[in-house]
Amino acid sequence: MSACRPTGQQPPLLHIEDLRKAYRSNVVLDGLDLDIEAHRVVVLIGASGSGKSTLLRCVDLLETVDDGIVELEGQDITDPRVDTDAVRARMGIVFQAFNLFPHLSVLDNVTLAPRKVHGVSRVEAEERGLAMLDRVGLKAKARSHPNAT
Amino acid sequence: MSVDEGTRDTVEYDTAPDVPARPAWRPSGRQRAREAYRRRRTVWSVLIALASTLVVFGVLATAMVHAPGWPRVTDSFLRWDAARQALPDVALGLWLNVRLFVVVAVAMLLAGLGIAVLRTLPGPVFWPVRALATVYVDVFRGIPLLVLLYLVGFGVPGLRLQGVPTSATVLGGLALTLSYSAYVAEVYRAGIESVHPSQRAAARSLGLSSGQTLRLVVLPQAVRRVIPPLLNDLASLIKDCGLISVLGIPLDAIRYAQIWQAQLANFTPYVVAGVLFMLITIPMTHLTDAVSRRYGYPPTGGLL
Repeated sequence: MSACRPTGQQPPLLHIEDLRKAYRSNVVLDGLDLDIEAHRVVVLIGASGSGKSTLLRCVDLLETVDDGIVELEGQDITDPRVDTDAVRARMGIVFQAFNLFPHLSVLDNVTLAPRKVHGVSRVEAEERGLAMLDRVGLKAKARSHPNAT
Repeated sequence: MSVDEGTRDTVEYDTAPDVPARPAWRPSGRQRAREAYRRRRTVWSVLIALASTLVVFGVLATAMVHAPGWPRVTDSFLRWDAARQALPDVALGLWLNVRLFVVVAVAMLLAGLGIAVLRTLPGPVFWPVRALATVYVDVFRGIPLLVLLYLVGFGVPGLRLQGVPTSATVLGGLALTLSYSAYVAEVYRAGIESVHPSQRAAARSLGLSSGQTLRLVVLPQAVRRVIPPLLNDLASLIKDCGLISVLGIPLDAIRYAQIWQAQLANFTPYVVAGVLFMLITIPMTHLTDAVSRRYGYPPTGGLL
């Protein structure tokens, strides 16, 4: 258990307390505590099978936790009454295999969530998407399709 | 770490700094409350689903029973005495359908796989083979099954060749095999082409020949992937086995139903045949679904 936070202080961006996740008898996460403040870049290091991905999946609500809490900006997102789609709209994840959608162009992959989840207009989303693609040198490929892997 | 001569089998590895043993896990009050909430929500959704299903089916059944022609329809399609009279013969005929189904199913699965493999052979050497296989698929998938049944069932014996079977059941089975193997070949081919090229590259990089690659790496994945559509074709085949009744002589379930329908001037025998077919197809598809769930792979990719 992590120590109680001093009162009156901003809650950390992500607060994990006594988290437990087991696949049948294989207990992957057991009593895990973790606080991540806003603007911090945190690297998780561990051997293959040590539970890094499981932790990320629990935070993104792709797994149902067996016990403990995950709080995002002070809100308990492991509460079953929480709307998972609304939570996922507030965080992002890039998978190890990127899972780009092969039927969509690069630009459409980038603008899908802004347009369909966040209600950004196509013009604005594409403008922002192109700017982002330009930053990583992919602007010329905006209309290409990703290689399906 | 020390290994004594006598205890080689029970080598113990040193673990990193000793972690104090945690007490056995018991769900916290919070977790128990969550689980209780989830249970309540499940019960509630099941109740809602049940109630709405009952309402929908109730409305449909009421509408059907109160249709102006309902008494006439029950009289021509759902007569108990007619069903009882026709049942023994229709069931006897169904036995022929089942035997025909088993033979045709095996034949079409093997022939379809062969044609699919021929269609995917690489290189210019195999061009004629690929072309022939393509023509086979185009022709037999293109002809309506009923026309094919007439052509094979009446045309082949019409040739009066020595040694060619003239039994309508055998010829009907042949027509079904020709048509269905063309369909199944395309299903297999889709499966073969869905195996990612990197799998083939990995197999070739191990030194497997292209034939070994196909047999040991590509086909096992392809076949498992297409089991659901193949089951769909099998369910369709068992019903189409009833179509051989158009050749007149084979006394299968549909032909017996036809005979009894003519004799009783009542359509109930057809309903009997339909119910008997369903008694086979529904358990069969559910059984094979369970089998394919058990032996199928989870979808590849999507790792986090």
